[in-house]
Amino acid sequence: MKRGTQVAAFALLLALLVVLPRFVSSYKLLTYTRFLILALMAQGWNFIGGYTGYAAFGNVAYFGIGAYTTGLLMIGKWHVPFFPALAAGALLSALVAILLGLPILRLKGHYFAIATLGVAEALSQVADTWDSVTDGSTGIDLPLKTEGEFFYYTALALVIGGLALTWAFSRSKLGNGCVAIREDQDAARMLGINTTFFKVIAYALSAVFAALAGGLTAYQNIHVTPGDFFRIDYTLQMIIATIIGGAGTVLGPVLGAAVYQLLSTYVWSKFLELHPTVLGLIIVLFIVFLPRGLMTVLARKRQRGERPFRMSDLLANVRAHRVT
Amino acid sequence: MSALPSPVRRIPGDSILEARGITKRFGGLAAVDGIDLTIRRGEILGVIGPNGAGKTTFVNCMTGLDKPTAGTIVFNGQDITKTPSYRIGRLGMARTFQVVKPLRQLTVRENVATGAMFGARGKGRSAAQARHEADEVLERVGLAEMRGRTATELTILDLKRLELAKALAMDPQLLFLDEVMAGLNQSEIEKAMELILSINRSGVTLFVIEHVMKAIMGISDRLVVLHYGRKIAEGNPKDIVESPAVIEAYLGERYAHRTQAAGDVNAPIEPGTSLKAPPAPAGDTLLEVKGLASGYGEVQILRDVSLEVKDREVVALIGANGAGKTTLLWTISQLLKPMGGSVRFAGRDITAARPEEVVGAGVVHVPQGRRLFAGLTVKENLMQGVYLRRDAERIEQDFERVFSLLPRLKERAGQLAGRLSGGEQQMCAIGRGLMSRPRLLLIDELSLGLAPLVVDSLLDLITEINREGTTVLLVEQDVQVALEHAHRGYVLETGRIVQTGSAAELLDDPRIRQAYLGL
Amino acid sequence: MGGAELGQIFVNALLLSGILALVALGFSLVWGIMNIVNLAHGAFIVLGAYITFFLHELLGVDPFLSIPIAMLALFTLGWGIQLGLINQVIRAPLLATFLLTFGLELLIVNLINYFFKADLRSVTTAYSGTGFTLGPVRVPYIRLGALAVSLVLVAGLAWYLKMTRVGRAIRATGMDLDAARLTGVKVATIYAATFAIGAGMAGAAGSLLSMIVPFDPTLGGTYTQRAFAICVLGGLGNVANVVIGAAIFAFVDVFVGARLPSLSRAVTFGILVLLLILRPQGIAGKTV
Repeated sequence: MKRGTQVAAFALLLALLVVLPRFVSSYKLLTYTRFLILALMAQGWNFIGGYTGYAAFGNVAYFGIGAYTTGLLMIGKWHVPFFPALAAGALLSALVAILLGLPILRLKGHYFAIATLGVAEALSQVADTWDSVTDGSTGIDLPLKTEGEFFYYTALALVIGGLALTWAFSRSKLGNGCVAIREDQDAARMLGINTTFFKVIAYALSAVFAALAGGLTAYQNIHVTPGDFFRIDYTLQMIIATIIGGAGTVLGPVLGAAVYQLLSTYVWSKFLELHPTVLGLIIVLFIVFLPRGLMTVLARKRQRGERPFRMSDLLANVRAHRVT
Repeated sequence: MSALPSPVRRIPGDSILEARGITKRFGGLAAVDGIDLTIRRGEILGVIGPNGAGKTTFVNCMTGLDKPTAGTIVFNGQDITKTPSYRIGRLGMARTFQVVKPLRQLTVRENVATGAMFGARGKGRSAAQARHEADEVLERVGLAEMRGRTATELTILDLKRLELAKALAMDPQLLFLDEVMAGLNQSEIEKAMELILSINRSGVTLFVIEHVMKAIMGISDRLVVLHYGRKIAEGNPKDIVESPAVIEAYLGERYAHRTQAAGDVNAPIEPGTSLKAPPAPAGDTLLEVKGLASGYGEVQILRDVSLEVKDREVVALIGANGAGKTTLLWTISQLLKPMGGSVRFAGRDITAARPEEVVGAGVVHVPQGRRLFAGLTVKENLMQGVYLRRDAERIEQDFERVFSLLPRLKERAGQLAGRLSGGEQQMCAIGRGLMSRPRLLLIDELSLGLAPLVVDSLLDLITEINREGTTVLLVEQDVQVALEHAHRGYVLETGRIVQTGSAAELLDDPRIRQAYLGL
Repeated sequence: MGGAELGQIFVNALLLSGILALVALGFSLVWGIMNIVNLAHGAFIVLGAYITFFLHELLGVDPFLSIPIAMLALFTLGWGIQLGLINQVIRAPLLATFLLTFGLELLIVNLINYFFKADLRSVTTAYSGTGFTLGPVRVPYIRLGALAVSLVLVAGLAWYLKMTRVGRAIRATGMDLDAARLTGVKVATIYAATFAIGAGMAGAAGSLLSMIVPFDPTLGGTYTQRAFAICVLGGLGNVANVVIGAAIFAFVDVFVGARLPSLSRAVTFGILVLLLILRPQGIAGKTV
């Protein structure tokens, strides 16, 4: 597809998304909103996991921080309106990410992953125990808002903003620096890149996106408990969505979120009881056949001018990664 | 004789870098021990020394990758002892890594642009301007055509050029080069020397670590010799090379003679440097390679290789890096699948065999870079060589044989292989290969990274092994030493065999002498 | 706290460390040799527990005697999973195997949940609950037996890796894959053996756990996390390191569990993170 066609296609898609609420039931709209919120989280994770190559496994922590901050500010004595509360949640998350990131980002690979996991677990327990503020496992209740369109459009706006930000990031020195860190951190340092600074920024960005998603979900769900909001499922969803779509690309997270949501909804409706099993199976199959995600396959195809997707490509993928 | 450009001897100016009392300890071991060094602005400082002498560690200390345990570093009058490595890059120092570190998934252009973005002049450049700057650097280094290729698609030669380009893009005043010439053939070395000299002419001070003596002699204004972490000599290159201390520690007598003879087309082959192997035995063909094609993924390296190795011979395979010598060995041992052609061993077709079948048939590959099991002891490494064998009694005999051939290994039998010196590791790798009871031993680049003295003794060892009955196919970048120990030789160029003959013929062949020996 | 309480904690921790060592060892073998963080390790543990449970319920097999059976079953399953599934992606980016094993864990645990429901089960025998007392401290026989079995298995594995041909090949393959092949090693087979041994160890741990704690399909998850933490603590270098790490972790876990039960996971992880920051190579020093 040429550049022009691409832009036109994109604009069309955007237009469709904007008018969508008029054509679907409010139940369906919920699903689309869920897709957008997942896309938002995935976009955030993409900064640290995709571009910088640091597989953070605990970003649900910031989802939770965003949820609780937004909620507590809204129901607290100042009755802060939603958007400022949401922004505050994002800001607080960024600060926590910077504080935690400074020591933790010195770790590498699996070590880093488990440290972030530990952070999420710890925060979950803190939220549970800090009764005086969070009401422990009982949770808090946000003010009621039932207009599904509000959440849909807010999420849509945030995702579009995320796309713009990711695009600018990928072309900036910051983005280039992060990619260099991912490819070879020692080489990156020798080239003059302040790796600590760049990593922390990428991590803070991922926290902001997770917090925005968390605050929005909190408002939508009304009831916030540690058990619901600090689940590892959220982390896994955002990671899988990014990987499926293509980590380190601009459109990847959104594409992956769409695919994941589609699969999840389909599986839910058909296999209610075995839902996690089937989802697990689908994840396994995806990883085996498309370990680098959809975007890279499509991009490579475009480079060579071939038609997208043949079975032989999938099989070639398997052969390339096998060991004999 | 190809004309070597006489280096424009710059009159060195003030000191650009002053290092005083640099010491770096790792645990109890001092890799660098109290080195004082001044680098003068505008000069090319050559640094030589045996493996493990501390050359790379010294560079790491200068560039901030390692913090020195003691000592001070002053760069352009500024104390940078405690400065973090990324800031040192911005101040005007750059380096290449001995084991190249490309940004693998990025294109050549993006790799170099990264250097331009964050180097000494990076602050003022936008990402787009950096990419433009990268194009200029790529022209200079000769990588302009490869600019759109991903780093993973490059040959080792181009990767070294890329490494240099990345460093150049940082607009350094002082550039550290760490063994950039390893594995290059004669004409490539000359091109590299020209490039380095032109970089120097444009105003960059250079600190060059090398094992390729001819190159370092040809470009250095001054020479420094490191040994066991200390500076043992410093001064004029010609004087250094003749100094007895340096010869004893590093060069070996024979090599010193070769270096002196370099540059004179009519120089007679010195006694002690002539062919040493006994006359070729008339044996049956043991290994037969016909029309072999092979490569990595989409990159084809071998196009049409045909050669044969007769029983009880030592055959040398020489050629430039990137010609495919190592690829050939990996293909014979089946860690790389052939794309075409055939390989027969002892009458059996092994073209489609599995690696373990090849080993079982008696073809043992001693790979480039030693590749020992670092966490196993020397004895355990040897025992792993016995993996496929079940004849316990003969295994015991083989242990004794290997230990008598390589007494150093016996001394160190209980030590972890990762702790041995370079030469000892090579011995251990050969020993491990011998334990598999090979009929044919494939040896890949024995000399890489080893001091000439050590290389000579290892090749004498190979001759000994051959005399006891093992056939050897020797891949070597040190052409002279390889041909001196072989019966026959093949020359590989860009994936094809272009010449063959007895070792004596090849050593006398003027084309070979010019291309590979610089004589 | 009183001496009796301290003593009991000490004994509990000691007895727990055996099982933790078993769990962590299988996990660390697969991680160290194949560079795979097997998130499905917990599923193997659960399977071991259920096998022992059903052998006891339906056939009256003494749980200690069912351990070899469970180990064999998990060994075979592990071999199959490695050859059939994990082997296909072993050269893919690191996160891929992470997610693959996660998907597997999801799949297996949920299947178990579907077929056996989420009821808590436990293996009770005539001798469950019996024990002896050492002053103010109680030592249950079953836990003591579990410790003994664990130590035997751990020592057995250590011996196997150090002394046998295949054990050495496993270690060599973990250090340099290509060099190992050049000595004739068939890597797919060695990897399968490694993964199978890891699964077998997990199965044994599950069998032992079924006698000690009430379990349901979610039993494995927390043990995978603990195995991870132990490997980080002890390093991946060798058996001794993992055992030391397991012992230390057991003590911290039990101690924190006794004093701060509601924040136990937070505190344990906090300590782990702190440790990682101060000493990324783990306590014993060998880097992952």
